[in-house]
Amino acid sequence: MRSRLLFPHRFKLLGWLLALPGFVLGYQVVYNDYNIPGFELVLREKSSLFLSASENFTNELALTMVITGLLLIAFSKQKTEDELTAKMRLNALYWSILVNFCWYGVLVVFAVINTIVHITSIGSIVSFASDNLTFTVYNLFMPLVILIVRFYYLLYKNKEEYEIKPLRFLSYKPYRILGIILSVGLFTGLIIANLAGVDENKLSVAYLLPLVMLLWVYSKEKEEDEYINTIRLNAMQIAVYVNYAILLIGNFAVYGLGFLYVLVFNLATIPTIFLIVFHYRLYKIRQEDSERSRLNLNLL
Amino acid sequence: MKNTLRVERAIKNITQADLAAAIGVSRQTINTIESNKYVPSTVLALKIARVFDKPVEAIFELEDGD
Repeated sequence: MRSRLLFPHRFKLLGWLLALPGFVLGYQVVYNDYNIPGFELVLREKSSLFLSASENFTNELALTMVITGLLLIAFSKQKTEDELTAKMRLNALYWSILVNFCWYGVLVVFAVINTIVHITSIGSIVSFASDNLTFTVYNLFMPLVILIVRFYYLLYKNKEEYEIKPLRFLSYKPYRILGIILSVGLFTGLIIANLAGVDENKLSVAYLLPLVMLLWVYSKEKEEDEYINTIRLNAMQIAVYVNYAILLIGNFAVYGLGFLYVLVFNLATIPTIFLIVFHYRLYKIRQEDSERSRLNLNLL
Repeated sequence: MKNTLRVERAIKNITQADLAAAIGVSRQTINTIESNKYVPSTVLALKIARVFDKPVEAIFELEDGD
């Protein structure tokens, strides 16, 4: 049986102890500009416009606490962890990524409408999300929060039994084909435009990339079976782990404007990593399969 | 898939909690299996069958819609 890549049950409490204070600290940092006095390191010889001489680590600490805490809460084993709770967790993960990106999609649609027509309610939602990069900051931890809320809701909804429903994916034609074409096309288009020196502000079509990748992620293979479904859900879990590992590393390795780029890229990293892991696994299986059938033919 | 788990449990006179503890799953999982809302994995079905000393097909049966 494949290992489930979960933390031991004890870590769940630790998760809460990290996440809740982390959220409080994070709120203070973002909205009240709070910095723990003296919690700084002198990194550079003198201040420049975007990088001050001493860097206060309060915001990094808040982000680390929140992300690590949420990861531990979401991915620690239950007291009695069995195959059904593992399956429920993966289902909740599928759901949370979908909801997170659907909400992102709604915001993108609103942003587009906002540039064409002026409706005050839509305009205010868009400005709320894009001012201070609010959405990119929330995107850092919202998938995990939605996952936790959904998972615990399903667990405790009914004291007698667990709720599990089959997951639905979009059909191969046209969604997967469309998703692949659009994603690869948009991605190459953006690389070419970047190399050709097109101004970055004109490349806001890049914000569509996570959405078209979503079409690809949430659609079926040509031939779909339960093994592929298991691989798919495990790949999603790995994608979330790797995504947050990158984020935590980026948190400490990159500062100032650079971190803004990290935040923006974070919009697309979960689907990207998922696609890489999933297709690599599929490729390996199909290779083993064709190896085996070749050997069989030789023996016959 | 249908199962005769509830009947088997009654025959052997063990509760859901006992059965759950015997095979290492939670009580809610046993209940969800009995309500036909979850199809257990092969390993779990074999473990359940072993508790009742019967072959797997005696407890779990394929339905027409499967």
